[in-house]
Amino acid sequence: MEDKQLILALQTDHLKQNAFKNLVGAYKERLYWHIRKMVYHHDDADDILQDTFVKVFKAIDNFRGDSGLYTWMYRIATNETLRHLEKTKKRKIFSSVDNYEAFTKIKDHTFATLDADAIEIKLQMALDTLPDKQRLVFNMKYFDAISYEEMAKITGKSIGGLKANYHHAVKKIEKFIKDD
Amino acid sequence: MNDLNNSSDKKIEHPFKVPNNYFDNLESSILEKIEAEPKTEAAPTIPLYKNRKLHWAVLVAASVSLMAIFKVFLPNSSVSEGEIAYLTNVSDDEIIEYIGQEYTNLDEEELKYLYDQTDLSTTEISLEELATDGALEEEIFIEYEWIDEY
Repeated sequence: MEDKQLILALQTDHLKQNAFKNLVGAYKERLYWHIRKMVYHHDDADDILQDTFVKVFKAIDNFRGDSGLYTWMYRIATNETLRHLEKTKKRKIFSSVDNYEAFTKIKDHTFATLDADAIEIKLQMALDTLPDKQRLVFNMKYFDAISYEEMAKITGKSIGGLKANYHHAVKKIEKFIKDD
Repeated sequence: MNDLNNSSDKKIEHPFKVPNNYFDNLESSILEKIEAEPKTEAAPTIPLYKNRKLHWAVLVAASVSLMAIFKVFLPNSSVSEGEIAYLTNVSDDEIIEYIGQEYTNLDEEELKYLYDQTDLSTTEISLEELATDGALEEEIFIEYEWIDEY
């Protein structure tokens, strides 16, 4: 089902619930991983994802289609995530871990052993040192391959500013990895 | 790990793990959560004069409007003692309601004129109220720094 049809169904009372199930089915994983990369913990990501979809359900009647459906939901998820990080005062997964050896002892609780090689974990540790919004830009660009144009629509920031954020993030990550 | 500076070609896997079957029943869980939420009812309409935050602002505007009306339409006439006594007995709420009903269509020039006639230093908005409004504004800026309407 195309987004246009899906939106129409979502905005039609007797079709709304079924269409919403389709919507969640289509976008749940992408939004989950977007959130998860920011908050690290599954339980937090689950809460935020559910809150995101609840907001989508409530606000869909007012969705005007100025942006794409996914862009709109991505923006809601991003805002929910940033709000959560602000509320929890940037509780970070590695805040109590000050070296790589110590970190590797707890990594199995968070990372899939088969999927996480040392350099990926090190990258996550480097990311953890970045300001939230810089990390967000890095995640969207590096992991999700989102264009700056699309990012600008999601965040409401200028393309130049986003590029600068990504550039700074890369420099900091490179320094972190070299210094470690 | 891909080159950090050239990452636009494809998505890169992340190393986090997720509980088995987590995604399987997510649709139902979310719908249950939505159904469990109390239904939102239309917000009750609160008359302007009962809104404490707007009370003083409207009161000031109302007073200024009355003064301006006298000044514009009765520049050379004096107000009789009887009229003053009558106006003294009119409550603030009645004035606000009257202004709300009759003078909501002032154009920009009229508003500017009324504003120019107002001596804001004599208004009775307390510093506490100003501080509260300032804090609220700050909060909104923080909250909506990255947020558009949806």
